[in-house]
Amino acid sequence: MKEKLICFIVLMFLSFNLFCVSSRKLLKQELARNEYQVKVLKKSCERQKLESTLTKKADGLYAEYQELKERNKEKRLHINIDKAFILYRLALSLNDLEQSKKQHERQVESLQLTRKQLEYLKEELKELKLELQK
Amino acid sequence: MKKKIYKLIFLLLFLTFNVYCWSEEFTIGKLDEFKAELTKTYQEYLEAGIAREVDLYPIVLARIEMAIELYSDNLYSQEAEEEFEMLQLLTEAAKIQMVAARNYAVNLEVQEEGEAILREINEMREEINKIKQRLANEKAIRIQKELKEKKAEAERRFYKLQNDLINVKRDARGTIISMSDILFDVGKATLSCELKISLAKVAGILLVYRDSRIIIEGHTDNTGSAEFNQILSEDRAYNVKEFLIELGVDENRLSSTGYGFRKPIASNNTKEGRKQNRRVDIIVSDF
Repeated sequence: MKEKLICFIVLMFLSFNLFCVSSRKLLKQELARNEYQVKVLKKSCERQKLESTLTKKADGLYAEYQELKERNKEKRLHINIDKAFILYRLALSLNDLEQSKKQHERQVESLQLTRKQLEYLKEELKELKLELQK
Repeated sequence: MKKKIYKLIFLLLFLTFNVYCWSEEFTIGKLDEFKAELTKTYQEYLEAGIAREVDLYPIVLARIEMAIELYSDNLYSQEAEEEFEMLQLLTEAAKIQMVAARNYAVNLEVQEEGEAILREINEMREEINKIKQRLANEKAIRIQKELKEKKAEAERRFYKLQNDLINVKRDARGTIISMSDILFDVGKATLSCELKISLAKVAGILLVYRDSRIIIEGHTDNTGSAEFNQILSEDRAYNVKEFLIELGVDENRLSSTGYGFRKPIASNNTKEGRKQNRRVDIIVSDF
């Protein structure tokens, strides 16, 4: 009976360890995935030459994350990378919004010019038709 | 005293508990607000029928819902504040993404409208070009007709001048008005009164028909040296040109040259032939 109990405890201990290792591995995988996403966003910001307080804050968080990673301090790693991700996304979304507004202004201006051109042409056509009728 | 301290402790505990509950409720309420705002923006985005994909909405919504659950179950503790802040930022980012997507959709509509107008403009331009071409053709035909009429009229008027001393004929170069040298003093280049009167009539016609070019040629018979005849023919042609300029004919339309006896129109062996060869030709061409 005693042996069975010991065996059960050992098994429990082993499965607990296995669970811990696998969950740790999963966490690490998730962290790596998040880090990759942040790197992509950072690159995207750099390519678009985005420089704002948001990107600076995100850069700082990412740098801090790398420092923590080097020092093997895992406690705040997730929070840092998550925050950096959010800040980069926010910066990119804001830039996107700004671009969409600028594009809108340009297109409206161009549309107005095109409409004016159309009006002139209509006038010209009208005059030519009159001339043709003479 | 002891009783008072207990009372105070109890009161403090009660207050702390209340503040804790209140802050929890406040956070959940705020999260619900985030969710409502996000859903509203998403609804608007859906109603606009935008093709542009927004990836943040489902992620943020799920995260907010998870946070509400965790707050309700009282499982958030240490990182609650940070998560709340992050959710706030994420909600903002997701909303901005959707607004930007809507803006782009509107831009697309504007672009399509612009393209439609441009198509209309192109069609209109084609039509305008066709009409212009047609008008130009009609104008060209009209001008040609007018020129033809002008030319015929000018020729008619030149032929009216024809008499014993002025001969009018046509050849490939145009209308040729030949003037006999009797109109000049013998061996001289001075213009006689009769010639001046005839030239004035010619000039009158040339002034009306401004499109023509005029070449004045002096010719002689073979009596005398070639050098003398050459100079005489050049002088006579030149004097006729100068007189026409005096009468108002544009200088740029006129040119004069002398051929001496190099271009006879009749035989120099007979008196009649020599008479025909002594002449000044005014060639009117290029109407």
